Amino acid sequence: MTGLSDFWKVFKRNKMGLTGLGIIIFFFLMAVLAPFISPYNPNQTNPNLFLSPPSSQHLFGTNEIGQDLFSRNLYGAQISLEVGFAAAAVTVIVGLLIGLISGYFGGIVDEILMRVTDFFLVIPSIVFMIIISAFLGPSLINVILVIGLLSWSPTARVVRSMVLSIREWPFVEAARASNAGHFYIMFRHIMPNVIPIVFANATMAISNAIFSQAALVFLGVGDVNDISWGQIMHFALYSGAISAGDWWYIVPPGIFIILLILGFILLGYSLEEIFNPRLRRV
Amino acid sequence: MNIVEAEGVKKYFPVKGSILRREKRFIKALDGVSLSIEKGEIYSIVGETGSGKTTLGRILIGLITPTEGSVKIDNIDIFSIGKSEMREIRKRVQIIFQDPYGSLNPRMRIRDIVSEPLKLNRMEYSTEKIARVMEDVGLKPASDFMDRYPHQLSGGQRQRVAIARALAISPEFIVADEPVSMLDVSIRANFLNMMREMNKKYNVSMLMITHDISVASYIGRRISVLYLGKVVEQGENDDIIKNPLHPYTRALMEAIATLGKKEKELHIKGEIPNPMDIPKGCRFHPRCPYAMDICREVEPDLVEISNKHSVACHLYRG
Repeated sequence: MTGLSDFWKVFKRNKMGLTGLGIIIFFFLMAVLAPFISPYNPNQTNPNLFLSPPSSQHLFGTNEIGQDLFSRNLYGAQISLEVGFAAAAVTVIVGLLIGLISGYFGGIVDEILMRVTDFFLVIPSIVFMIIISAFLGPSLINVILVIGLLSWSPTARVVRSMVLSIREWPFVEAARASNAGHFYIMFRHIMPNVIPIVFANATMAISNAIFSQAALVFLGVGDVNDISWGQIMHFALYSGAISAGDWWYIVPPGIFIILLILGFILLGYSLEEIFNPRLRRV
Repeated sequence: MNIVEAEGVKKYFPVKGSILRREKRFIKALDGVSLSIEKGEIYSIVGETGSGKTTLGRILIGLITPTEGSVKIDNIDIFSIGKSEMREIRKRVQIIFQDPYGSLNPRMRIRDIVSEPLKLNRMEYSTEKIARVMEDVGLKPASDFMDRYPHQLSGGQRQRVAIARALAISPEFIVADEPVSMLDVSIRANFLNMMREMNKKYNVSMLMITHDISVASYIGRRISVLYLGKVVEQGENDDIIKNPLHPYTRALMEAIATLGKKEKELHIKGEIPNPMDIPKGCRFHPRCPYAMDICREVEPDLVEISNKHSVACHLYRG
Protein backbone atom coordinates (compact mmCIF):
# COMPACT_ATOMS: atom_id res chain seq x y z
CA MET A 1 0.00 0.00 0.00
CA THR A 2 2.00 2.95 -1.19
CA GLY A 3 -0.81 5.43 -1.58
CA LEU A 4 -4.38 6.19 -2.25
CA SER A 5 -4.09 5.58 -5.97
CA ASP A 6 -2.72 2.09 -5.39
CA PHE A 7 -5.48 1.40 -2.96
CA TRP A 8 -8.07 2.52 -5.48
CA LYS A 9 -6.54 0.34 -8.18
CA VAL A 10 -7.14 -2.73 -6.05
CA PHE A 11 -10.42 -1.57 -4.62
CA LYS A 12 -12.11 -0.79 -7.90
CA ARG A 13 -11.89 -4.44 -8.92
CA ASN A 14 -13.71 -5.52 -5.81
CA LYS A 15 -17.40 -5.71 -6.70
CA MET A 16 -18.55 -6.38 -3.17
CA GLY A 17 -16.66 -3.38 -1.83
CA LEU A 18 -17.89 -1.13 -4.62
CA THR A 19 -21.48 -2.12 -3.92
CA GLY A 20 -21.04 -1.39 -0.23
CA LEU A 21 -19.33 1.90 -0.92
CA GLY A 22 -22.07 2.81 -3.41
CA ILE A 23 -24.76 2.21 -0.81
CA ILE A 24 -22.89 4.24 1.80
CA ILE A 25 -22.27 7.11 -0.62
CA PHE A 26 -25.95 7.06 -1.54
CA PHE A 27 -26.98 7.53 2.09
CA PHE A 28 -24.18 9.97 2.73
CA LEU A 29 -25.44 12.15 -0.12
CA MET A 30 -28.94 11.75 1.19
CA ALA A 31 -27.83 13.06 4.59
CA VAL A 32 -25.82 15.98 3.18
CA LEU A 33 -28.33 17.01 0.55
CA ALA A 34 -31.45 16.53 2.67
CA PRO A 35 -31.95 20.29 3.24
CA PHE A 36 -31.74 20.94 -0.52
CA ILE A 37 -33.70 18.09 -2.02
CA SER A 38 -36.48 17.68 0.52
CA PRO A 39 -39.73 18.71 -1.10
CA TYR A 40 -41.11 19.92 2.27
CA ASN A 41 -39.86 21.15 5.59
CA PRO A 42 -39.80 17.87 7.56
CA ASN A 43 -41.43 19.51 10.58
CA GLN A 44 -44.15 21.27 8.67
CA THR A 45 -47.54 19.79 9.50
CA ASN A 46 -50.54 19.68 7.25
CA PRO A 47 -53.82 19.28 9.18
CA ASN A 48 -55.65 18.21 6.05
CA LEU A 49 -53.44 15.25 5.23
CA PHE A 50 -53.22 12.73 8.08
CA LEU A 51 -51.71 9.38 7.23
CA SER A 52 -52.22 9.72 3.53
CA PRO A 53 -50.76 6.90 1.40
CA PRO A 54 -47.92 7.58 -1.04
CA SER A 55 -48.89 9.91 -3.86
CA SER A 56 -47.17 12.12 -6.40
CA GLN A 57 -47.32 14.95 -3.84
CA HIS A 58 -45.99 12.91 -0.93
CA LEU A 59 -43.80 10.10 -2.26
CA PHE A 60 -43.73 8.21 1.03
CA GLY A 61 -47.09 9.44 2.24
CA THR A 62 -47.63 11.47 5.41
CA ASN A 63 -47.73 10.72 9.12
CA GLU A 64 -50.39 11.21 11.74
CA ILE A 65 -49.82 14.97 11.93
CA GLY A 66 -49.50 15.39 8.21
CA GLN A 67 -45.69 15.72 7.94
CA ASP A 68 -44.10 14.61 4.67
CA LEU A 69 -42.49 11.23 5.35
CA PHE A 70 -40.22 11.41 2.31
CA SER A 71 -38.56 14.54 3.67
CA ARG A 72 -38.33 13.08 7.16
CA ASN A 73 -36.71 9.89 5.84
CA LEU A 74 -34.11 11.96 3.96
CA TYR A 75 -33.24 13.87 7.13
CA GLY A 76 -33.19 10.63 9.11
CA ALA A 77 -30.01 9.53 7.35
CA GLN A 78 -28.09 12.30 9.11
CA ILE A 79 -28.53 10.97 12.63
CA SER A 80 -27.95 7.35 11.67
CA LEU A 81 -24.61 8.13 10.01
CA GLU A 82 -23.47 10.51 12.75
CA VAL A 83 -24.22 8.03 15.52
CA GLY A 84 -22.88 5.13 13.48
CA PHE A 85 -19.46 6.66 12.86
CA ALA A 86 -19.03 8.36 16.22
CA ALA A 87 -20.09 5.37 18.30
CA ALA A 88 -18.02 2.99 16.18
CA ALA A 89 -14.98 5.22 16.67
CA VAL A 90 -15.42 5.00 20.43
CA THR A 91 -15.93 1.23 20.21
CA VAL A 92 -12.89 0.61 18.05
CA ILE A 93 -10.49 2.86 19.96
CA VAL A 94 -11.46 1.44 23.35
CA GLY A 95 -11.55 -2.15 22.09
CA LEU A 96 -8.22 -1.84 20.29
CA LEU A 97 -6.41 -0.30 23.26
CA ILE A 98 -7.78 -2.76 25.79
CA GLY A 99 -7.08 -5.72 23.51
CA LEU A 100 -3.53 -4.55 22.79
CA ILE A 101 -2.62 -3.87 26.41
CA SER A 102 -4.28 -7.01 27.69
CA GLY A 103 -2.72 -9.32 25.12
CA TYR A 104 0.71 -7.74 25.14
CA PHE A 105 1.35 -7.44 28.86
CA GLY A 106 -0.54 -10.56 29.94
CA GLY A 107 -0.50 -11.61 33.58
CA ILE A 108 -2.49 -9.63 36.13
CA VAL A 109 -3.19 -6.76 33.71
CA ASP A 110 -4.75 -9.25 31.32
CA GLU A 111 -6.76 -10.89 34.10
CA ILE A 112 -8.31 -7.62 35.24
CA LEU A 113 -9.04 -6.24 31.77
CA MET A 114 -10.54 -9.50 30.56
CA ARG A 115 -12.85 -9.84 33.55
CA VAL A 116 -14.11 -6.32 32.81
CA THR A 117 -14.50 -7.30 29.16
CA ASP A 118 -16.40 -10.44 30.12
CA PHE A 119 -18.75 -8.32 32.19
CA PHE A 120 -19.59 -6.13 29.20
CA LEU A 121 -19.80 -9.17 26.98
CA VAL A 122 -22.41 -11.00 29.03
CA ILE A 123 -24.69 -8.16 30.02
CA PRO A 124 -27.52 -7.72 27.52
CA SER A 125 -26.27 -4.46 26.09
CA ILE A 126 -29.54 -3.12 24.74
CA VAL A 127 -31.10 -3.41 28.20
CA PHE A 128 -28.09 -1.73 29.75
CA MET A 129 -28.23 0.98 27.11
CA ILE A 130 -31.87 1.67 27.93
CA ILE A 131 -31.13 1.97 31.63
CA ILE A 132 -28.10 4.21 31.21
CA SER A 133 -29.74 6.38 28.57
CA ALA A 134 -32.70 6.84 30.87
CA PHE A 135 -30.34 8.07 33.58
CA LEU A 136 -28.19 10.27 31.39
CA GLY A 137 -31.06 11.83 29.56
CA PRO A 138 -31.74 11.93 25.86
CA SER A 139 -28.96 13.78 24.10
CA LEU A 140 -27.18 12.69 20.95
CA ILE A 141 -23.75 12.66 22.57
CA ASN A 142 -25.07 10.47 25.39
CA VAL A 143 -26.48 7.98 22.91
CA ILE A 144 -23.13 7.88 21.10
CA LEU A 145 -21.17 7.33 24.31
CA VAL A 146 -23.56 4.74 25.67
CA ILE A 147 -23.51 2.72 22.46
CA GLY A 148 -19.73 3.12 22.01
CA LEU A 149 -18.77 2.29 25.57
CA LEU A 150 -21.02 -0.75 25.75
CA SER A 151 -19.98 -2.34 22.47
CA TRP A 152 -16.19 -2.58 22.61
CA SER A 153 -15.87 -5.96 24.31
CA PRO A 154 -16.03 -8.20 21.20
CA THR A 155 -13.37 -6.02 19.53
CA ALA A 156 -11.17 -6.20 22.64
CA ARG A 157 -11.51 -9.98 22.78
CA VAL A 158 -10.64 -10.48 19.13
CA VAL A 159 -7.72 -8.06 19.28
CA ARG A 160 -6.35 -9.68 22.43
CA SER A 161 -6.41 -13.16 20.94
CA MET A 162 -4.55 -11.93 17.88
CA VAL A 163 -2.01 -10.07 19.97
CA LEU A 164 -1.37 -13.23 22.00
CA SER A 165 -0.17 -14.98 18.87
CA ILE A 166 1.53 -12.03 17.18
CA ARG A 167 3.67 -11.13 20.20
CA GLU A 168 5.33 -14.55 19.99
CA TRP A 169 6.49 -14.04 16.41
CA PRO A 170 10.23 -13.76 15.87
CA PHE A 171 9.96 -10.26 14.40
CA VAL A 172 8.86 -9.05 17.82
CA GLU A 173 11.90 -10.64 19.41
CA ALA A 174 14.08 -9.14 16.69
CA ALA A 175 12.74 -5.69 17.55
CA ARG A 176 13.35 -6.34 21.22
CA ALA A 177 16.92 -7.36 20.43
CA SER A 178 17.30 -3.94 18.81
CA ASN A 179 16.23 -2.04 21.91
CA ALA A 180 12.57 -1.57 20.97
CA GLY A 181 10.35 -0.54 23.88
CA HIS A 182 6.95 -1.94 24.80
CA PHE A 183 4.99 0.85 23.20
CA TYR A 184 7.01 0.76 20.01
CA ILE A 185 6.42 -2.98 19.69
CA MET A 186 2.73 -2.63 20.51
CA PHE A 187 1.99 0.15 18.08
CA ARG A 188 4.53 -0.37 15.31
CA HIS A 189 4.68 -4.15 15.12
CA ILE A 190 1.56 -5.62 16.63
CA MET A 191 -1.13 -3.02 15.89
CA PRO A 192 -0.69 -2.99 12.09
CA ASN A 193 -1.21 -6.75 12.12
CA VAL A 194 -4.53 -6.54 13.95
CA ILE A 195 -5.85 -3.58 11.92
CA PRO A 196 -7.57 -5.77 9.28
CA ILE A 197 -9.56 -7.51 11.96
CA VAL A 198 -10.27 -4.16 13.58
CA PHE A 199 -11.57 -2.89 10.24
CA ALA A 200 -13.95 -5.80 10.01
CA ASN A 201 -14.98 -5.08 13.57
CA ALA A 202 -15.34 -1.37 12.89
CA THR A 203 -17.89 -1.96 10.16
CA MET A 204 -19.72 -4.35 12.45
CA ALA A 205 -19.56 -1.67 15.10
CA ILE A 206 -20.99 0.94 12.75
CA SER A 207 -23.84 -1.37 11.76
CA ASN A 208 -24.37 -2.23 15.39
CA ALA A 209 -24.42 1.44 16.39
CA ILE A 210 -26.89 2.36 13.66
CA PHE A 211 -29.10 -0.49 14.73
CA SER A 212 -28.79 0.26 18.45
CA GLN A 213 -29.58 3.91 17.97
CA ALA A 214 -32.65 3.06 15.92
CA ALA A 215 -33.70 0.52 18.52
CA LEU A 216 -33.23 2.93 21.42
CA VAL A 217 -35.22 5.67 19.75
CA PHE A 218 -37.85 3.20 18.61
CA LEU A 219 -38.29 2.10 22.20
CA GLY A 220 -38.65 5.71 23.25
CA VAL A 221 -35.26 6.12 24.94
CA GLY A 222 -33.06 8.73 23.37
CA ASP A 223 -34.11 11.93 21.75
CA VAL A 224 -37.44 11.58 19.99
CA ASN A 225 -37.20 15.17 18.79
CA ASP A 226 -34.29 14.51 16.45
CA ILE A 227 -35.51 13.18 13.16
CA SER A 228 -34.14 9.69 12.67
CA TRP A 229 -35.32 6.46 11.13
CA GLY A 230 -35.78 4.95 14.56
CA GLN A 231 -37.89 7.95 15.54
CA ILE A 232 -40.12 7.58 12.47
CA MET A 233 -40.67 3.94 13.36
CA HIS A 234 -41.28 4.90 16.97
CA PHE A 235 -44.12 7.20 16.02
CA ALA A 236 -45.40 4.73 13.48
CA LEU A 237 -45.93 2.29 16.30
CA TYR A 238 -47.23 4.68 18.93
CA SER A 239 -49.61 6.49 16.63
CA GLY A 240 -51.28 3.20 15.90
CA ALA A 241 -50.44 3.54 12.21
CA ILE A 242 -48.88 0.09 12.08
CA SER A 243 -51.92 -1.66 13.50
CA ALA A 244 -54.03 0.29 11.06
CA GLY A 245 -51.97 -1.16 8.21
CA ASP A 246 -50.31 2.08 7.10
CA TRP A 247 -47.25 0.30 5.73
CA TRP A 248 -45.71 3.40 4.10
CA TYR A 249 -45.02 4.81 7.53
CA ILE A 250 -42.71 2.03 8.70
CA VAL A 251 -41.41 0.23 5.61
CA PRO A 252 -39.10 2.94 4.13
CA PRO A 253 -37.10 3.65 7.34
CA GLY A 254 -36.82 -0.10 7.94
CA ILE A 255 -35.44 -0.70 4.47
CA PHE A 256 -33.05 2.24 4.79
CA ILE A 257 -31.63 0.90 8.05
CA ILE A 258 -31.13 -2.56 6.60
CA LEU A 259 -29.58 -1.22 3.41
CA LEU A 260 -27.15 1.06 5.23
CA ILE A 261 -26.07 -1.74 7.55
CA LEU A 262 -25.59 -4.02 4.55
CA GLY A 263 -23.46 -1.35 2.86
CA PHE A 264 -21.07 -1.23 5.82
CA ILE A 265 -20.84 -4.99 6.02
CA LEU A 266 -19.98 -5.32 2.33
CA LEU A 267 -17.40 -2.55 2.60
CA GLY A 268 -15.95 -4.15 5.70
CA TYR A 269 -15.37 -7.50 4.06
CA SER A 270 -13.70 -5.97 1.06
CA LEU A 271 -11.47 -3.69 3.17
CA GLU A 272 -10.29 -6.64 5.16
CA GLU A 273 -9.40 -8.39 1.94
CA ILE A 274 -7.42 -5.40 0.70
CA PHE A 275 -5.63 -4.34 3.86
CA ASN A 276 -4.45 -7.83 4.62
CA PRO A 277 -1.77 -8.44 1.96
CA ARG A 278 -2.02 -12.18 2.35
CA LEU A 279 -5.68 -12.18 1.39
CA ARG A 280 -5.18 -9.90 -1.57
CA ARG A 281 -5.59 -11.45 -4.97
CA VAL A 282 -2.71 -10.07 -6.98
CA MET B 1 40.70 -11.61 22.10
CA ASN B 2 37.26 -12.98 22.83
CA ILE B 3 34.08 -11.18 21.93
CA VAL B 4 31.91 -13.56 23.94
CA GLU B 5 32.77 -15.49 27.06
CA ALA B 6 30.15 -17.66 28.68
CA GLU B 7 30.96 -19.30 32.00
CA GLY B 8 28.89 -22.08 33.56
CA VAL B 9 25.63 -20.88 32.02
CA LYS B 10 22.55 -22.64 33.41
CA LYS B 11 18.95 -22.02 32.56
CA TYR B 12 16.18 -23.79 34.43
CA PHE B 13 12.62 -23.06 33.38
CA PRO B 14 10.19 -23.66 36.24
CA VAL B 15 7.29 -25.96 35.45
CA LYS B 16 4.00 -25.25 37.11
CA GLY B 17 3.19 -28.14 39.42
CA SER B 18 -0.31 -29.34 40.11
CA ILE B 19 -2.04 -28.37 43.35
CA LEU B 20 -1.32 -31.76 44.88
CA ARG B 21 2.36 -31.85 43.99
CA ARG B 22 3.94 -28.82 45.56
CA GLU B 23 7.57 -29.66 44.78
CA LYS B 24 8.93 -27.38 42.13
CA ARG B 25 10.11 -28.98 38.95
CA PHE B 26 12.35 -27.53 36.32
CA ILE B 27 13.15 -28.00 32.69
CA LYS B 28 16.90 -27.90 32.65
CA ALA B 29 17.43 -26.33 29.27
CA LEU B 30 21.07 -25.52 29.94
CA ASP B 31 23.07 -27.19 32.66
CA GLY B 32 26.42 -25.49 32.82
CA VAL B 33 27.78 -24.44 29.46
CA SER B 34 31.03 -22.58 28.98
CA LEU B 35 32.40 -21.36 25.71
CA SER B 36 34.29 -18.45 24.29
CA ILE B 37 34.06 -16.96 20.84
CA GLU B 38 37.01 -15.10 19.41
CA LYS B 39 36.66 -11.83 17.60
CA GLY B 40 35.99 -12.42 13.94
CA GLU B 41 35.34 -16.12 14.37
CA ILE B 42 32.38 -18.22 13.27
CA TYR B 43 31.59 -20.67 16.03
CA SER B 44 29.16 -23.54 15.51
CA ILE B 45 26.90 -25.17 18.02
CA VAL B 46 25.35 -28.51 17.08
CA GLY B 47 22.53 -30.17 18.90
CA GLU B 48 19.18 -31.84 18.52
CA THR B 49 15.85 -30.31 19.40
CA GLY B 50 15.79 -29.91 23.16
CA SER B 51 19.54 -29.65 23.55
CA GLY B 52 19.23 -26.05 24.68
CA LYS B 53 21.02 -24.52 21.73
CA THR B 54 18.37 -21.89 21.04
CA THR B 55 18.21 -20.91 24.71
CA LEU B 56 21.98 -20.53 24.71
CA GLY B 57 21.84 -18.22 21.69
CA ARG B 58 19.22 -16.03 23.37
CA ILE B 59 21.24 -15.85 26.57
CA LEU B 60 24.45 -14.90 24.78
CA ILE B 61 22.87 -11.71 23.48
CA GLY B 62 20.96 -10.97 26.65
CA LEU B 63 17.42 -11.73 25.51
CA ILE B 64 17.01 -14.27 28.32
CA THR B 65 18.58 -14.11 31.77
CA PRO B 66 20.38 -17.28 32.83
CA THR B 67 19.60 -18.98 36.13
CA GLU B 68 23.29 -19.18 36.88
CA GLY B 69 26.55 -18.34 35.23
CA SER B 70 27.87 -15.27 33.48
CA VAL B 71 28.13 -13.98 29.96
CA LYS B 72 30.67 -11.39 28.99
CA ILE B 73 30.54 -9.45 25.78
CA ASP B 74 33.80 -7.69 25.16
CA ASN B 75 34.61 -8.20 28.85
CA ILE B 76 31.38 -6.61 30.05
CA ASP B 77 29.28 -8.92 32.19
CA ILE B 78 25.91 -8.32 30.54
CA PHE B 79 23.79 -9.63 33.40
CA SER B 80 25.25 -7.41 36.07
CA ILE B 81 24.88 -4.09 34.29
CA GLY B 82 22.09 -1.56 34.28
CA LYS B 83 19.44 -0.94 31.67
CA SER B 84 21.20 1.89 29.89
CA GLU B 85 24.42 -0.11 29.62
CA MET B 86 22.41 -3.04 28.28
CA ARG B 87 21.02 -0.76 25.61
CA GLU B 88 24.59 -0.01 24.57
CA ILE B 89 25.39 -3.73 24.42
CA ARG B 90 22.34 -4.34 22.24
CA LYS B 91 23.81 -1.97 19.67
CA ARG B 92 26.68 -4.40 19.27
CA VAL B 93 24.85 -7.71 18.96
CA GLN B 94 22.15 -9.03 16.65
CA ILE B 95 20.19 -12.21 16.00
CA ILE B 96 18.90 -14.06 12.94
CA PHE B 97 16.03 -16.48 13.35
CA GLN B 98 15.22 -19.82 11.86
CA ASP B 99 11.87 -18.93 10.35
CA PRO B 100 12.24 -16.52 7.44
CA TYR B 101 8.48 -16.05 7.38
CA GLY B 102 7.95 -15.15 10.99
CA SER B 103 11.03 -13.01 11.49
CA LEU B 104 9.90 -10.20 9.18
CA ASN B 105 6.82 -8.16 10.00
CA PRO B 106 4.40 -8.82 7.10
CA ARG B 107 3.17 -5.22 7.23
CA MET B 108 6.50 -3.49 6.88
CA ARG B 109 8.36 -2.72 3.71
CA ILE B 110 11.80 -4.20 3.29
CA ARG B 111 13.39 -0.74 3.61
CA ASP B 112 11.69 -0.23 6.97
CA ILE B 113 12.63 -3.68 8.18
CA VAL B 114 16.30 -3.26 7.35
CA SER B 115 16.52 0.27 8.75
CA GLU B 116 14.64 -0.52 11.94
CA PRO B 117 17.64 -1.42 14.14
CA LEU B 118 19.33 1.80 13.03
CA LYS B 119 16.31 3.90 13.89
CA LEU B 120 15.70 2.15 17.20
CA ASN B 121 19.30 2.64 18.22
CA ARG B 122 19.27 6.25 17.03
CA MET B 123 22.01 5.59 14.54
CA GLU B 124 22.40 7.47 11.35
CA TYR B 125 20.60 5.88 8.43
CA SER B 126 20.11 6.64 4.79
CA THR B 127 18.72 4.86 1.79
CA GLU B 128 22.25 4.48 0.41
CA LYS B 129 23.45 2.83 3.59
CA ILE B 130 20.54 0.38 3.58
CA ALA B 131 20.97 -0.30 -0.13
CA ARG B 132 24.66 -1.08 0.41
CA VAL B 133 23.90 -3.68 3.10
CA MET B 134 21.16 -5.22 0.99
CA GLU B 135 23.42 -5.57 -2.01
CA ASP B 136 26.14 -7.03 0.19
CA VAL B 137 23.85 -9.87 1.21
CA GLY B 138 22.84 -10.51 -2.38
CA LEU B 139 19.62 -8.53 -2.76
CA LYS B 140 20.63 -6.91 -6.03
CA PRO B 141 19.66 -4.39 -7.16
CA ALA B 142 18.48 -3.13 -3.80
CA SER B 143 16.01 -0.73 -5.39
CA ASP B 144 14.02 -3.74 -6.63
CA PHE B 145 13.46 -4.91 -3.07
CA MET B 146 13.23 -1.70 -1.04
CA ASP B 147 9.52 -1.11 -1.36
CA ARG B 148 8.36 -4.67 -1.41
CA TYR B 149 6.63 -6.52 1.37
CA PRO B 150 8.02 -9.76 2.82
CA HIS B 151 5.29 -11.89 1.26
CA GLN B 152 6.52 -10.86 -2.17
CA LEU B 153 9.92 -12.45 -1.53
CA SER B 154 11.10 -16.06 -1.54
CA GLY B 155 12.28 -17.80 1.61
CA GLY B 156 15.93 -17.34 0.69
CA GLN B 157 15.43 -13.65 -0.07
CA ARG B 158 13.64 -13.13 3.20
CA GLN B 159 16.48 -14.72 5.10
CA ARG B 160 18.86 -12.37 3.31
CA VAL B 161 16.71 -9.48 4.46
CA ALA B 162 17.02 -10.81 8.01
CA ILE B 163 20.80 -10.82 7.65
CA ALA B 164 20.79 -7.33 6.14
CA ARG B 165 18.78 -6.14 9.13
CA ALA B 166 21.27 -7.74 11.49
CA LEU B 167 24.27 -6.26 9.65
CA ALA B 168 22.82 -2.76 9.27
CA ILE B 169 24.08 -1.57 12.64
CA SER B 170 27.52 -3.16 11.98
CA PRO B 171 27.34 -5.39 15.05
CA GLU B 172 30.32 -7.17 16.52
CA PHE B 173 28.48 -10.40 17.19
CA ILE B 174 25.56 -12.15 15.50
CA VAL B 175 23.69 -15.20 16.73
CA ALA B 176 22.34 -17.14 13.76
CA ASP B 177 19.71 -19.56 15.04
CA GLU B 178 19.34 -22.26 12.40
CA PRO B 179 19.35 -19.74 9.55
CA VAL B 180 19.36 -22.34 6.80
CA SER B 181 17.23 -25.13 8.19
CA MET B 182 14.08 -23.81 6.54
CA LEU B 183 15.73 -23.05 3.22
CA ASP B 184 15.81 -25.35 0.22
CA VAL B 185 18.84 -27.61 0.27
CA SER B 186 19.86 -26.24 -3.12
CA ILE B 187 20.44 -22.73 -1.81
CA ARG B 188 21.94 -23.58 1.56
CA ALA B 189 25.58 -23.70 0.51
CA ASN B 190 25.21 -20.46 -1.38
CA PHE B 191 23.67 -18.88 1.67
CA LEU B 192 26.38 -20.13 4.01
CA ASN B 193 29.04 -18.78 1.64
CA MET B 194 27.36 -15.40 1.78
CA MET B 195 27.41 -15.51 5.57
CA ARG B 196 31.10 -16.32 5.49
CA GLU B 197 31.71 -13.34 3.20
CA MET B 198 29.80 -11.06 5.55
CA ASN B 199 31.80 -12.42 8.45
CA LYS B 200 34.97 -11.18 6.71
CA LYS B 201 33.60 -8.00 5.23
CA TYR B 202 31.89 -6.71 8.35
CA ASN B 203 34.41 -8.28 10.69
CA VAL B 204 31.58 -9.69 12.74
CA SER B 205 31.81 -12.76 14.94
CA MET B 206 29.03 -15.27 14.52
CA LEU B 207 27.51 -18.09 16.46
CA MET B 208 25.98 -20.59 14.07
CA ILE B 209 23.34 -22.66 15.82
CA THR B 210 22.36 -25.77 13.87
CA HIS B 211 21.14 -29.33 14.24
CA ASP B 212 23.07 -30.34 11.16
CA ILE B 213 26.71 -31.17 11.83
CA SER B 214 27.52 -30.77 8.13
CA VAL B 215 26.37 -27.13 8.28
CA ALA B 216 28.41 -26.65 11.46
CA SER B 217 31.54 -28.08 9.88
CA TYR B 218 31.03 -26.16 6.64
CA ILE B 219 31.07 -22.79 8.31
CA GLY B 220 32.43 -23.08 11.84
CA ARG B 221 36.06 -22.67 12.80
CA ARG B 222 35.32 -24.29 16.11
CA ILE B 223 32.41 -26.51 17.10
CA SER B 224 30.62 -27.35 20.33
CA VAL B 225 28.32 -30.34 20.44
CA LEU B 226 25.46 -29.84 22.84
CA TYR B 227 23.43 -32.65 24.36
CA LEU B 228 20.63 -32.05 26.89
CA GLY B 229 22.01 -28.73 28.01
CA LYS B 230 25.65 -29.76 28.30
CA VAL B 231 28.62 -29.59 25.99
CA VAL B 232 29.72 -33.14 25.26
CA GLU B 233 32.50 -32.31 22.82
CA GLN B 234 34.27 -29.11 21.92
CA GLY B 235 37.16 -28.36 19.63
CA GLU B 236 38.53 -27.19 16.32
CA ASN B 237 36.42 -28.01 13.30
CA ASP B 238 38.97 -30.44 11.81
CA ASP B 239 39.45 -32.34 15.03
CA ILE B 240 35.76 -32.80 15.58
CA ILE B 241 34.97 -33.81 12.02
CA LYS B 242 37.98 -36.02 11.31
CA ASN B 243 38.27 -37.45 14.76
CA PRO B 244 34.96 -37.34 16.58
CA LEU B 245 35.43 -38.78 20.06
CA HIS B 246 32.11 -38.72 21.81
CA PRO B 247 29.71 -41.50 20.72
CA TYR B 248 27.04 -38.86 20.21
CA THR B 249 29.21 -36.80 17.87
CA ARG B 250 30.07 -39.96 15.98
CA ALA B 251 26.40 -40.78 15.64
CA LEU B 252 25.75 -37.28 14.31
CA MET B 253 28.52 -37.76 11.76
CA GLU B 254 27.01 -41.05 10.68
CA ALA B 255 23.68 -39.35 10.21
CA ILE B 256 24.99 -37.10 7.46
CA ALA B 257 23.39 -38.22 4.24
CA THR B 258 26.02 -39.62 1.90
CA LEU B 259 25.83 -41.42 -1.41
CA GLY B 260 26.75 -45.07 -1.51
CA LYS B 261 26.96 -47.55 1.29
CA LYS B 262 28.38 -46.61 4.60
CA GLU B 263 31.23 -48.73 5.85
CA LYS B 264 30.34 -48.73 9.49
CA GLU B 265 27.17 -47.50 11.00
CA LEU B 266 26.67 -46.35 14.51
CA HIS B 267 23.11 -46.17 15.58
CA ILE B 268 21.88 -44.53 18.69
CA LYS B 269 18.67 -45.66 20.24
CA GLY B 270 15.60 -43.65 20.97
CA GLU B 271 15.16 -39.93 21.27
CA ILE B 272 16.57 -37.18 23.40
CA PRO B 273 15.12 -37.62 26.93
CA ASN B 274 12.76 -35.15 28.55
CA PRO B 275 14.86 -32.31 29.98
CA MET B 276 12.73 -32.51 33.12
CA ASP B 277 14.05 -35.99 33.85
CA ILE B 278 17.71 -35.91 32.99
CA PRO B 279 19.25 -39.38 33.34
CA LYS B 280 21.55 -39.97 36.27
CA GLY B 281 25.24 -40.29 35.52
CA CYS B 282 26.20 -39.50 31.95
CA ARG B 283 23.12 -37.94 30.39
CA PHE B 284 23.77 -39.80 27.15
CA HIS B 285 24.09 -43.29 28.64
CA PRO B 286 20.56 -44.58 27.88
CA ARG B 287 21.23 -44.11 24.18
CA CYS B 288 24.92 -44.90 24.14
CA PRO B 289 26.08 -48.16 22.52
CA TYR B 290 29.22 -48.13 24.69
CA ALA B 291 27.57 -47.44 28.03
CA MET B 292 29.52 -48.89 30.95
CA ASP B 293 28.62 -49.23 34.62
CA ILE B 294 30.34 -46.01 35.55
CA CYS B 295 28.29 -44.12 32.96
CA ARG B 296 25.13 -44.91 34.87
CA GLU B 297 26.52 -43.47 38.08
CA VAL B 298 29.03 -40.70 37.46
CA GLU B 299 28.61 -37.73 35.19
CA PRO B 300 31.76 -37.23 33.11
CA ASP B 301 33.43 -33.82 33.04
CA LEU B 302 34.55 -32.06 29.93
CA VAL B 303 38.24 -32.98 29.72
CA GLU B 304 40.81 -31.75 27.24
CA ILE B 305 42.11 -34.79 25.37
CA SER B 306 44.47 -33.19 22.92
CA ASN B 307 45.18 -29.63 21.89
CA LYS B 308 41.93 -27.74 22.55
CA HIS B 309 39.86 -30.84 21.84
CA SER B 310 37.68 -31.66 24.82
CA VAL B 311 35.19 -34.42 25.38
CA ALA B 312 32.90 -35.43 28.23
CA CYS B 313 32.98 -39.21 28.09
CA HIS B 314 34.26 -41.96 30.37
CA LEU B 315 35.71 -43.81 27.38
CA TYR B 316 38.55 -41.29 27.34
CA ARG B 317 39.37 -41.16 31.00
CA GLY B 318 43.05 -40.80 31.92
